[in-house]
Amino acid sequence: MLPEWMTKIGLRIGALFRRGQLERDLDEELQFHLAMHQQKLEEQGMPPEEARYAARRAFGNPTQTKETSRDLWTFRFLETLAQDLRYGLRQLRRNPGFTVAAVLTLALGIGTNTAIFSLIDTILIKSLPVRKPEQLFLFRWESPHVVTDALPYPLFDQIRSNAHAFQAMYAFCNLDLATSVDGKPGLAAGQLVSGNFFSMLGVRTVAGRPFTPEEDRVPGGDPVAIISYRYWKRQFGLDPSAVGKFITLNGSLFTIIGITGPNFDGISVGASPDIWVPMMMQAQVMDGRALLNDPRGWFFRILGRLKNGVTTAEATADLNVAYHQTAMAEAGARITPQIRQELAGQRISLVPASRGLSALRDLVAKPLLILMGLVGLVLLIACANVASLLLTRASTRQKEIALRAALGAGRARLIRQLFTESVLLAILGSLAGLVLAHYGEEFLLALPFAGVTPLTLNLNPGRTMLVFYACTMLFTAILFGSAPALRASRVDLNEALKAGGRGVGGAGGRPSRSNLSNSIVVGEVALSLVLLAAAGMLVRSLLKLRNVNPGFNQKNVLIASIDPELIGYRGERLTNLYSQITDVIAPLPGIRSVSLSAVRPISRSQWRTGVYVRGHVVRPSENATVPWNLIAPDFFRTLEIPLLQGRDFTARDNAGAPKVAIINEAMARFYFGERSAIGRHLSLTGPGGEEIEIVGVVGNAKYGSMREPPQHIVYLPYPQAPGGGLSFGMTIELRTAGNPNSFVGPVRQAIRGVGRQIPILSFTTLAEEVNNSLAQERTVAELSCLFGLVALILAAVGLYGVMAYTVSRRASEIGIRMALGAQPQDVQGMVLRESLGLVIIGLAIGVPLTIAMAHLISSQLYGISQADPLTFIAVSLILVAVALLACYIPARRAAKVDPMIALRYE
Amino acid sequence: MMREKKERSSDLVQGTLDMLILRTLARGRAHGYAIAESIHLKSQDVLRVEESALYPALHRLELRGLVASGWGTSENNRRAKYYRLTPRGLKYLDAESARWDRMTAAIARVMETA
Repeated sequence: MLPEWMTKIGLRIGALFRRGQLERDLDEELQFHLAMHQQKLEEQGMPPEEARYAARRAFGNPTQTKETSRDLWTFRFLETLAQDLRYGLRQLRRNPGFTVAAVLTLALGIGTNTAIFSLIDTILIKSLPVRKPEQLFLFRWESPHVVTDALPYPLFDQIRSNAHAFQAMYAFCNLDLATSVDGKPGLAAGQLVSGNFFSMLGVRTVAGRPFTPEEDRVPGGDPVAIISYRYWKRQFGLDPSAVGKFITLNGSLFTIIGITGPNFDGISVGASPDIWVPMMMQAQVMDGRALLNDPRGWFFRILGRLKNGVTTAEATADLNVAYHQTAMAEAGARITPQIRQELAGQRISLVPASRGLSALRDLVAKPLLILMGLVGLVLLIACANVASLLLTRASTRQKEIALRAALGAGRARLIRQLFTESVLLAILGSLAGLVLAHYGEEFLLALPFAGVTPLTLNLNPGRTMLVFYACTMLFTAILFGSAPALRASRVDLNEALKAGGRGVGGAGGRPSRSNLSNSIVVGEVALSLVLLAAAGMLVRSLLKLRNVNPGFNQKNVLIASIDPELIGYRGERLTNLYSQITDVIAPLPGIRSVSLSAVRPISRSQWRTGVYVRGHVVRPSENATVPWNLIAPDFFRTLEIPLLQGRDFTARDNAGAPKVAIINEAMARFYFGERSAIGRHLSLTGPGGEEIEIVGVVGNAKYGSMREPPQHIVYLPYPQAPGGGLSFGMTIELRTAGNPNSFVGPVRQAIRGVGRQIPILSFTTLAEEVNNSLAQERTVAELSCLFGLVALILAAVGLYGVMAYTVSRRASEIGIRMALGAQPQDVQGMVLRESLGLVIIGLAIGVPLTIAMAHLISSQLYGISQADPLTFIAVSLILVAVALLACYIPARRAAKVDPMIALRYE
Repeated sequence: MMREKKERSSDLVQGTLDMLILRTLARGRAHGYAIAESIHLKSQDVLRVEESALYPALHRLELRGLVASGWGTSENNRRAKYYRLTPRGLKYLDAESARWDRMTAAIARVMETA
């Protein structure tokens, strides 16, 4: 036998379908009873008509009986819900003005929140669209002085066979590709991957096929390539004949054999490769330089997938055992105590890769979260506005609600019905907000969040987004709906049904009603203060950053990026090429000076190296590594970085000459104090390593970003690059006599004159680079100003609404005042003073909130304190001004009240 | 909703009515009218069951599985809904009768003492 509750529910569900039949049965049953009674009365001698009436009378109210029985088999809850929904929709339709205002306000709040959250979801939360992403880990090699994710290939090869905790591992390496398809040259982002890359990640191809393990065996044996969906769209316009086409990558011919699906963007969030190439083709795309057997080629990153059921700790232990075994075997007979000790300090740790590898994430996480907070404030203000609207409307519905209460609706029922209306509003607002969010997302993606490159993101809504969306809807409904619903349902029947349908009259109702409205206004003002102050502080930080002295002269410097390595230049041939290029550019008219550097200034690039100065004892708190750069002669002259001691590099500081270096002022002061640094020595490889003589000291200049604190910087002449041989493109910097952009043509021609195929990656100016480096700060400041403006408008509208309603409600009071002698100006002044009072209370509450907010966004601030008085004062003044403006019309209206009419109305 | 509240506070009466209905059905299946008449007769005109109480009670008992219903033809050839006791209903009736007896005995004892 089924438990009772199950039969009950079963009956009710069944009843949903058999409603009609059940109704008829019930009817018939009662009719039968009536008939039987009537018959009995007739048998007792009553005439038929009388019997019928008597039976009916005795029966009582059949409707009530039916209702009681009906309740047993219906889901009463659902029925009343349906009733409430229908009624709510009717109400909304009947008050279009109110509905539109509320829905738009909500759309603004919910839409902006959804847009920002979708970014957060994609960048910060979502897992990779691959099989079991939680099993993926990146290998990180750690030693006391260096931490790196890039390892040599032979190491990978050997660990692969020795580590048993992993079901699969693959190596990958990013590189720029100079492409040529059907004779047309281009550039693409490439990635070398092991043969099991696609199968290990569970990525399917939408055309063609993925790599097979066979293609991972023979170096140079399989010139095949797989392109991404995005690249397929961009380059081939989704042409299905792309599979099978030939494509030249960095000089070698490949065949396209597959295309990945549209949802796969590689494993780095925000930076997706266009073309994948098997690892065995490494030498072919890096122009003959065979790194696969080079134990010193630290270029390859490794991703491993844990075996099912293996924990991270177990895998790490297993991996390190394998690593040390491998390393010891490598050293073999050459092992010394020193090497053994070095090895002991090295380990490999596992970095979770389930959400993808992302430099983007670190760059963008904090600003995004801050924006989320700001936009959340906008939502709160929007909800406050809608709550105000609802309160206003509720007071005009007093009669209707009182009637329903008189007819038997309990308080809970009333609250539920009013709340249903709020939920309806929330749903409508959410739908409208979704449309807004769609355009908002497009807008946001185009903004430079992380430098200038727009984000390549797949903003596909996943489960997280839907949950967020539903929660926001519910949250806003509760937020703006509960107070009005509770308030409205508390109805004094007598008062409300009286002839004066002015709403709840009497001293009892009014103050508490207006207190709630006033509190809402005060709250909005406080929140607006927080939002505007945030915007103000971010803007001030941006301005301060703009004015930072970079240590060089950013005007009139043209920057060109080239990479001759992509087409085969190496070693001495490469060095000669570079000096040819500078020789050819220097004499051009209008070029004041030209130089090269490996690391582009203010490009967020960071090369770091350990530095050892003879005689200096390294304290544990010191930074183990410093930024460094490879430069050509005249670098400092081109950028106008002052030379303080010694000399610049010259052409004589070439590969065979004694090793020299130039350091910056901060570093010289740190190591040598007031004494000259010239002639002293340093080493990059360790105590006892090759000694490099310091020949010059230059002024401090910003290296990677304008925000960075002063650093020690080491400069080396590029022909003396450590490790032998350059392995990267160089940046050409030229100081021009006028607008740098006008020199792009001649410079390009000059470079082509030296080598026609040399890939020129980009032209830009130093001023642009500096500007772009602040792109994120600018974006965040702009967006926060936008949100601040929205909040200001919402708060102004809210204040206006509340004030207007207050004035209209207090018309009779104003009438009395005027009748007693108050002038229009006095009344006006009274209204303005009251609203000003609210604003000031709001500001007072807002100040501690703002300070708390400033603390939270302190990482984004630059050069200003967390309680920046200038911002506070300016923003407060703005709020007061806007508030006064918003109250102007209601105040005027109050002044225009005709005492006779007002008193008569009462 | 208000009606439900009233019924909840008179659960004692509700439970008693259920018991009476079940006892009547223990003597054989019957339709609603017959049950009402039976109770009226057996109690010697003291208890009169309101239709508005009877039918909801019957439907509730059916929901709880204590009675089962079916359509049949009455003695005057009308279609009528007949109710009968189920095994579970019989068990329930026995338990409720015992409880009723205990309660009435206890009340009688209290009223006795001088």
